[in-house]
Amino acid sequence: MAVLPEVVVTVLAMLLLLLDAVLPEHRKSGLTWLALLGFVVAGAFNLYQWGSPAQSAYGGMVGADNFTVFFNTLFLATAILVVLMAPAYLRERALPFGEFYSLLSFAVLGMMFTAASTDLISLFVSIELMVIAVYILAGLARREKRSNEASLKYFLLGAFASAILVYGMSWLYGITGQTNLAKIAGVLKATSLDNPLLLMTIALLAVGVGFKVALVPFHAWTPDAYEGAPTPATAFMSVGPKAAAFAALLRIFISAMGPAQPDYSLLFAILAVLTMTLANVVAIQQNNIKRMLAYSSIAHSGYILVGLAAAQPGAGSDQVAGIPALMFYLFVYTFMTLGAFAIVAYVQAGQVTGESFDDYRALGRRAPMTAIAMTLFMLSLTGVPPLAGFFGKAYLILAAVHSGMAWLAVAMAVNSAISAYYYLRVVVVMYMSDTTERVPLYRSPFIHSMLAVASLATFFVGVFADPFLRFAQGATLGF
Amino acid sequence: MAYMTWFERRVIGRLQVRLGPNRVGIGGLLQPLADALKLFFKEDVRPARADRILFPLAPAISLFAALAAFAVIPFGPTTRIAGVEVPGGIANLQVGLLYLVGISSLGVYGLVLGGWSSGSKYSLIGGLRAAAQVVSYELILGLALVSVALVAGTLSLEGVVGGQANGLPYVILQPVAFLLYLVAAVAETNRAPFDLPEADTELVAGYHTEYGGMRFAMFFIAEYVNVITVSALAATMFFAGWSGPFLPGPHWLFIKMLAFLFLFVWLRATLPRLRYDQLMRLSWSVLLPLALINLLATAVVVAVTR
Amino acid sequence: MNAPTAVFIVLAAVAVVSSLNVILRRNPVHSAIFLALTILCLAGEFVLLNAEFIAATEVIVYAGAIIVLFLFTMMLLDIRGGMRTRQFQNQFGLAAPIAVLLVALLGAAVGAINISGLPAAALSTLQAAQLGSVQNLGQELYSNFLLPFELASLVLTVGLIGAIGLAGHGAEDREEQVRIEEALEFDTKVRAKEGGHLEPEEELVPAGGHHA
Repeated sequence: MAVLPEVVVTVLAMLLLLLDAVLPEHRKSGLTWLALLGFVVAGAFNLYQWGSPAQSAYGGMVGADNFTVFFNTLFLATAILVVLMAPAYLRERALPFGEFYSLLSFAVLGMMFTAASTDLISLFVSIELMVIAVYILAGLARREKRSNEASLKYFLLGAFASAILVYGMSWLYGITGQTNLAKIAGVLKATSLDNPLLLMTIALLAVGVGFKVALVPFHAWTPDAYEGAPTPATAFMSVGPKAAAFAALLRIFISAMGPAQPDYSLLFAILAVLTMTLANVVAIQQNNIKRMLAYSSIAHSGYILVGLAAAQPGAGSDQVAGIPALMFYLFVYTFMTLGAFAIVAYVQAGQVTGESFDDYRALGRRAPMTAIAMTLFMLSLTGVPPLAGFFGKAYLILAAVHSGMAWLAVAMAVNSAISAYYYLRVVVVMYMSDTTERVPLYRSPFIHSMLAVASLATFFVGVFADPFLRFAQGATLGF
Repeated sequence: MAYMTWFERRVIGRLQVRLGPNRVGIGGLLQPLADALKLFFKEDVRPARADRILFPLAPAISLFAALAAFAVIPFGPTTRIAGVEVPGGIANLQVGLLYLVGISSLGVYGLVLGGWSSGSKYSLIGGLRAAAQVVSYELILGLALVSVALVAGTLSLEGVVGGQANGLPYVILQPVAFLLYLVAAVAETNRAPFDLPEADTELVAGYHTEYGGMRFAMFFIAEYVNVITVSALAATMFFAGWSGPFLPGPHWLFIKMLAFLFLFVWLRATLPRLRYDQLMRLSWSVLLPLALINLLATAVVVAVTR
Repeated sequence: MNAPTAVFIVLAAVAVVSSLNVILRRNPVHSAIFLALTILCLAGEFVLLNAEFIAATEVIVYAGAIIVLFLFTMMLLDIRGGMRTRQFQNQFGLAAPIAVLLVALLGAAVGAINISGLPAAALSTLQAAQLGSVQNLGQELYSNFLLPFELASLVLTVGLIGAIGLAGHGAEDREEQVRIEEALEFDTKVRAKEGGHLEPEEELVPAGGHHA
């Protein structure tokens, strides 16, 4: 059965919802275990499908291939890590467990179907399932005005972006008369490409998905939404929906519009440079760590987009092709970003806000292991060898050079250097300043194991990059 | 239509052990005409705070929706008169039932806009109540009708009547749906005991407080047309519409309709008004689950027996 | 020009004019009414395209329920205050050229359409006249489009969870909110006294958090 992991997640989401209504208040922390179990089972079913021949299900609406398995692995890993980091934060702030986990499951389900979609219709509905669940996650701390603001801003701009996206899809349907991605590619191959209609379509689709992955100039919602949302939700937002939106970008622009690649390559290259430059410059000025990480996540969208700009459809699993580099970077990005946000949640859990750089003073003395983990994540986000972030960036830069866009590679290298300033600032604050504050740090076995997993992944994916790169390459065989 | 008012006043009179209007004409039969004339010649009053466009538009919307909804009720079988095919209704749509629900859902605009555009607080509260009530009960009305449509296997009202003409009337097959329909229909038409939007003891006259003359008459007529439409629909959906022995189609429909009209008047004369929270609770936590369960059961039975 | 085409054009014209009115009217109630009118025109177009079921659902769902609830909400608010605010904000100078550019682009794109050159839509073997019938629609929805259909139902479920989850539970919530605000105010003051630098944004947007 092609969609077994998805079915498991659906059942999990419903079960969490029902149990939340039935269970007494003091038993609700058991939902954490149920959520973990569900995602692990789904992950097992998912990995089992690796390498099996590509299947199509539901009348060509979704496909099960290595691409799907790769992204499902990413999404389920994200979900597991978020479930591990959430309980401490949720309990401290009296946020509802059941709603958080079931919305998380629904969002993950939407993400999984987004990556699996081979038809514009299922693609759009899946994206909506994902983002609507995330809007609500952002506003889950309904007693905090900032959370309300985050949810509302994200919702209004996101809904607007969805409208543009679906408008672009309708143009694509108008041009080709097809909603199936493979059939669209077939029609596009047969027609001439210097068509103003096609350019319009590319523009609309790029704007629509650009909002979801937070590309400059469509990023305005990101800092506010990330800052206001409960931190575990922020962590999830910065990774899950972003990866899913990149999956959608690949599905639309490579599977369906691959033949039009010369038309959009430059557009994405320019967007990438704009995004990383602006985000890095603004990130330097942030004093709130969540806003800093928000801009950092925007900058990373820019880096990842380099992969799409440098993509060469048909090149498949070429060592330096853009798409495997993009997917490998997404994989790396997931662990280091989730790790960084987990530490934010960890430091925050015992305090009222705990989001400014000052709250990290002397963390190296107060919590040595946590500080080491944070250092690891920050160095990896900067791109210091031999950590995972370095290899991710290296492959992207290679891909850019390889496709003849050396200027793009230079821009990316310069930006990495800029980003070192604000990432390393966290490290400096942790080790080279003192504090009189005696804020107790929260202890939770969940968050400690989560941090262990994330830091080990950040370290080992860097040191032993090869199998993971081959995992990403194997996933792109369908293109 | 106009005689509905006479009918109502006489019946209520009887039920309350008094006579009702009996002076104008024989047995008061000319009373509706007199009322109409009076309303025609009244001054057209428009409150100072009223919305200039929407205030006159609201009663028109009400009346239009009421009359348009009536168009799809079939009166009788298609007959041949002098070689010309005469259809048994004004219009026979393939999706007649949906059309009816759709158009009648537009009627609420009249009430809401009437309430809002008058610029008076009583009107506003009446309009608010109307909006909430009609939207809530429309759901139940729709679900009840969908259950019947599932049994009939068609959304055309002709088809529904045809399905009953050769078998049992659907009131026997769908008793729950019938009861739900009945309650929802009374609420949809804002009749007692669901007449909160125009509760005269609380809100002067609700959404049409500020209306007078012909504009008031239009609201008034629309309400009675709606009552007639839901009665005719009840007869059509649950009591085989125009089909029946001996008499020609329209007569049967009229008789069945009349029974429902009497029921409506009887209800008004007998039952006290509900409180607003009771009204909402009844809709969302009693009737809606019931309607959904009924729909589910019907779907299962239809799927199994087909 | 035959009658259906003429009706189509009239309906389309009314739809365009009334949708323009939706955004240009100052009074939101008028906007809502024009939105309803637009929906009715679209329903009419669907009827002309033999999609009666979709037309009826459109009227029931949008005109009959959603816009009525819009009106309901507006009646609960004081819209007369809202009517005084300017419709065009400070971004007008920036937005107008972009909008003009977009319209020009769209116009060029539409002008470039060669209708006969476009591939025929992937209609199945059904005749156009039967396409919108309830039976065919149901059949398609439960066979080829089963997955999006079911996913859409999940979207609605999520929306429902959100509506209930975000709505709050009255007084208890408000007390909690006051506690949070007080804690935040205290926090901000303490930090300011200690000489910690505050972002201008932080002073404007009340920073959230948790009562200690």
